[in-house]
Amino acid sequence: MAENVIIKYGHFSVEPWRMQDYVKQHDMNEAAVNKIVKDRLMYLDWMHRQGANRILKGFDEEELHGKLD
Amino acid sequence: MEILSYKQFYSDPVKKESPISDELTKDCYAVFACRHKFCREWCPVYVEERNESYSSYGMHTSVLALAKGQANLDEMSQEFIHCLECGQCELKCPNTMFAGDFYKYSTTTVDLVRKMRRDLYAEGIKYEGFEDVQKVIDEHQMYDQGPDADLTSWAEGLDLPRKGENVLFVDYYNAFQTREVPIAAAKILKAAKVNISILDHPAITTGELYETNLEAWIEGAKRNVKALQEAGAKTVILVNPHEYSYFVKEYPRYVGTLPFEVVFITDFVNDLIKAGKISFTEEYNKKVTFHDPCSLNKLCGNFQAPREIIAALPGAVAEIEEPVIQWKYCCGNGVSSAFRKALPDVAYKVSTTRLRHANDVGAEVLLVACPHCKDMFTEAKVKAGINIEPVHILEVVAEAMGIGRS
Repeated sequence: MAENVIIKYGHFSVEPWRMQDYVKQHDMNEAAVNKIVKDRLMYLDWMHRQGANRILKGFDEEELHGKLD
Repeated sequence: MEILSYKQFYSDPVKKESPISDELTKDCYAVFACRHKFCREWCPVYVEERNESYSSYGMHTSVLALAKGQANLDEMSQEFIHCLECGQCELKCPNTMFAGDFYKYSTTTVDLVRKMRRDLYAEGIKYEGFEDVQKVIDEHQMYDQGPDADLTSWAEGLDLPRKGENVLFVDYYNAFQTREVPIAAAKILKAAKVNISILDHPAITTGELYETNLEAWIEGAKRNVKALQEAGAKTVILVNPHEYSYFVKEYPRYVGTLPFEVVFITDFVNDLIKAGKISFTEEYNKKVTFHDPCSLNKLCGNFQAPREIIAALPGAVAEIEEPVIQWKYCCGNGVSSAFRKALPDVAYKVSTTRLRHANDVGAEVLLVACPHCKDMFTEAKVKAGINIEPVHILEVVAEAMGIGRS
């Protein structure tokens, strides 16, 4: 667990010193971060709406008992 | 607005017989190691070609293969041209979408493709069809060296001053090939009583040059910023979304924060409609849909204004797919026209797929906000025989205002 919660540009952010060994953080300004967050929310919203249209209904009680019998 | 997100180590060129930097290797390994492959599923090129090499995953893997000595640079001539630079892969990549804001580390395929095209060009490795791309670059460089009068000939009779706070920036493509678009823009803004001016001599901005000769392109960027400053610009209005994406995302990298506000024409016109400065007198009784330009929707996250403009058009019946769905669409031209020039058959397939989607929503008119989209769709419509008319949104606004299509 991280010792501190870092918030940069209004969003949770990893502490920069943790990004030194493998890949380093790249130059990213506030507008770029906000665009990523906005795109994610739009995509998740769209994805959930798609899912809601496609989720199959589970067994109702009668069918469930029928299966169990 | 400026959207800055870039990796400094991309500026180290990839060369023959020279090791690839550790950072670039790790960067590409991060995408290679990913098994989500969300980048692939909506890639307009992958959808048509079904060749994984031509996905974001494939392109990063190719660079990794170079780094590991399992491929030669000479074998990469056709690899990086198979990208529209639309940015769909970046939007769908979990590394960008779910972690980018947290780690400040994201997938930047468009930058990688542009970098690799530049590096291959510098090494003398050219893709098939490069001659046609070179012709475009030569043509635009000729315009740049040509007289001012040619560059502003589209504005003849419009009586536009050369200095002012609101400058309409018109690139060479619009000035020479789709001049009906800047003419419509100028007419709309004048009718709304906005004082606009234009530059005497805008410098070269073409994306094909950006991918071949970076220094020359940066030189053009510097000249444009200087000229706009000297013209007294406080707001620069762009009529080409490709140039808008360059001003918003690329210029600040090379010339720093811009000393003026950059606005796309649809945003500007939409604000005028909301402020009651534009009123419509004619009905546009058509069933329409709208195609989001990649450079506006995907690269800059700008999609609201055209929808609001269309909603305000009297008589128009609109069925517009939401911006997320349109991440998977492209007109086929690509953000740099190199793709269309080098791969006209693939561009045609991408374009007809988009036209068929427009047909599916029952539209008779496909509104666009990009001159390149209009050109590409017009060609595909004629070749494919799909009965949908691609029309630029500014032409429709001008028509509904009663000032006529240009």
